[in-house]
Amino acid sequence: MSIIKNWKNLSARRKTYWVTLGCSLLLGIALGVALFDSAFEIGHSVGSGDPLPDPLLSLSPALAITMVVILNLILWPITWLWHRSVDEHEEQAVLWGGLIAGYALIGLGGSWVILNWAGVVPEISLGATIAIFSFVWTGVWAYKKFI
Amino acid sequence: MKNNLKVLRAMHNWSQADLALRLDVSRQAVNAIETGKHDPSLPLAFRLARLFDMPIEAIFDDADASSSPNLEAKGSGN
Repeated sequence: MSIIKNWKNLSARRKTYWVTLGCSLLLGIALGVALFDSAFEIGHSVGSGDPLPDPLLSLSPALAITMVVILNLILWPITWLWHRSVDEHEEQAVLWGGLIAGYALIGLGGSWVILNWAGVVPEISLGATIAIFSFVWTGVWAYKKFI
Repeated sequence: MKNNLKVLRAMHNWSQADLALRLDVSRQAVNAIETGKHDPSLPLAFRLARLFDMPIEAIFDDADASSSPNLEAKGSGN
């Protein structure tokens, strides 16, 4: 890896960029492991067509509160530092991603609501709309940065 | 925006990663500038100019210059 090989030559700004990305990765893995049992249970129910488990039973309040506190105490400073350290090309990619994800949310979310009013699709899901926003944002960011 | 970055980089025998390190940006940013997909900001354009010891207009091709007769007329009038 050229990043590791050139670590000593990187500027403080680039080092901050990679450290914040590494911290985000570790945070994501930790939260993913902590949520695995609940997510697996929900995913299994969706896949098998069984009724969804009661959310109050699938995740303990203590674990949920701990995760939310950690998420908000660590995520915001990391995000702020990352935005300060990112280069202008990637900043553009992130901004375009957010903009197009916003349009996608309005277009797809609005379509979903209208179709729901007509009884064509089930009621709009908050989780699905967050997923649409995240996937479109990530997709546009990756396209603008790497392609 | 068209530019001579690839040629200038080759003259110095630098890879995109080498140039990125010198400019304090990512390798992807250098690639995007070289291929004209990203127009650098003024501060980054000045960093490039200082690095190659050339004026900005010698690195980047201002295609709009030929289609701005009013500006040229004003310039030649002074």
